[in-house]
Amino acid sequence: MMHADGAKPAAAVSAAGLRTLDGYRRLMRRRRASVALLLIVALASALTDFVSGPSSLGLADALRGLFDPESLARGQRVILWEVRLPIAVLAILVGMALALAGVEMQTILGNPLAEPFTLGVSSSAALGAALAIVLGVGIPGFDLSWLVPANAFVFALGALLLLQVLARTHHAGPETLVLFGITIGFAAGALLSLLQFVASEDALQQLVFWTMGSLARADWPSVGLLAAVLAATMPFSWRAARRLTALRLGDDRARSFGVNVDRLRLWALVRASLLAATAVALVGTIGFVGLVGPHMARLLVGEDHRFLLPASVLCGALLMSLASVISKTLVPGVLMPVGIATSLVGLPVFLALITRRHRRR
Amino acid sequence: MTLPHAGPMLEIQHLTVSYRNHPVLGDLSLPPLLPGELVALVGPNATGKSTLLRALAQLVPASGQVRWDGQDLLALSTTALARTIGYMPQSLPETAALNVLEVTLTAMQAQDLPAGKAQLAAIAVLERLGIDDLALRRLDQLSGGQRQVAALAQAIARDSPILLLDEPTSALDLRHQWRVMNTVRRLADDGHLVIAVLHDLALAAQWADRILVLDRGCLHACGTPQTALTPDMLRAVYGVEARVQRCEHGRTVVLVDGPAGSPRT
Repeated sequence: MMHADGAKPAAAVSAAGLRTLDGYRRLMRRRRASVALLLIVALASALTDFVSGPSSLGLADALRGLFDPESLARGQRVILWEVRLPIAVLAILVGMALALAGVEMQTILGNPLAEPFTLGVSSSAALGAALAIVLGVGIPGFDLSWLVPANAFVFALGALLLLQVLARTHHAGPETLVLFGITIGFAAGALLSLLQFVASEDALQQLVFWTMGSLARADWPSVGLLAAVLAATMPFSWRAARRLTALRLGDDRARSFGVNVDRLRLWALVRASLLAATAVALVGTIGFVGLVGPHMARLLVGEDHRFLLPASVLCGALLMSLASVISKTLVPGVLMPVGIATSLVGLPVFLALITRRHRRR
Repeated sequence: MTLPHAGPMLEIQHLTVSYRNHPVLGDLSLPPLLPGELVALVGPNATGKSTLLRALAQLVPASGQVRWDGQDLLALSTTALARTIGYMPQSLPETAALNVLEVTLTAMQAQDLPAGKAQLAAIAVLERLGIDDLALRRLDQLSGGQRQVAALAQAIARDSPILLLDEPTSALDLRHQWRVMNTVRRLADDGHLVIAVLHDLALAAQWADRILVLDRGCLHACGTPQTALTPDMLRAVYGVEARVQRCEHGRTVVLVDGPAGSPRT
């Protein structure tokens, strides 16, 4: 052959190549360690959340009550098991759900700003909640305590369904999809304002409280519901991890790697919708977790989704749990709406991430 | 070629691709393309070169017949297609927080290799392209030229029999250009069918076995560099007056004198 220059057979790898491979395996071990560390920190935060609160239940009592409930007085037992534990667990689950929804949305839309908020899911959920709170209009068959979340869920899911329909009928790419999402969000926001305008003072206060996001209504049915949705969606996200990584290189590349991009995008959006709608329905609108969690994870472990997905989920859980602690301790004796705390925690973290990234360039 | 070819070959008949009811490729038929060939796809801008590659890679809807080894390529499943075709698009991803080795491994997922085997194969691909030292570097830390070689690694990682390369050397300096074209040449010599869109006619003449000249979605000429690259073709297709000179060692140089109809300088 005129151009051949004595090439080695393709499969042989040099000693330098084997060293590179060792470097790659070290990198993987480091990432696994990062994920493990996140898990430990998130659990520690949940524990802090569990042992902190306005009542005079100290660390020792709280821990004893966790393993041996009978050793506590009835009042203390109720506080631990019906208030603190559901709040601590729900905070973790909500953080997981919002961050997983956020990271999948960011990947399938190729947009680092995508999250339930930016796609209009949260505003639509708020509109649904407002209809129930202000006008008492909602899904038939639910009693009042579940009417608000059920309505919020249906509206959030409806918004994402509308998004899908618009995207399908207009053959919209990811950019257009984001614009549709913003449009839906603004429309829902306008209708929400209209409802606020006509609402009674009582309903208005309830509504404002709902839109701030709160863990105060946490109870075991909520925890069970969100845990079930997470358990139903997470395995599918995990299975899609390698395909999601491919999508980060663009649709054409992912397709040529053998990824059915349309199907991947559809199912990821379905998963993200279910997660976001359920979380928002249970605790109200909570910003920043779906956005910041994935960004933190990306800085820690990169964008190999086998690591990025679990790291995002854990970062979300950690952020939400920290916010829960802050919402209890910032003003002693007052349980602040957790949505305010997530923004307070999220903003500095987000700013630090942005400025760090700019410095590195 | 008078002898009938025994092994697989790529047959493209009546291939039509339309974009918003406007035909980009109209009823395109090509002579059979064979494994071991490096085929350069040339032609002016917007004549459907990239579209032809994208149609073969099932990235745009197309009608017609595209057959390889008895299979209808246009009807192959995404996974089966990924094993048959390696595709290198023109654009390069810029912002992904992934390193070169991860990206190469991602490109190999249709093969379902065990992790250790896949990692060794990916390193071998990078060594073959001479970018193994970049394996753990992130894409956003690479220069444009390095990213392009990394993109080539993704296209050849699956060792698929057909390679479609859309301007594989556009961002490269002379040294890297030579290196990439030399690698591409060896891939063809190893039995791959390589179809590469090339804008540089001198590169096409130097490295390709055959040159396909596309003009407004139709095949204008097809042949060896000597027969396809002629002043008449350059005037008709590119609208330029040009001289085609053969230098020593059989190299071909194209000298453009000006737009068609202008006097020679």
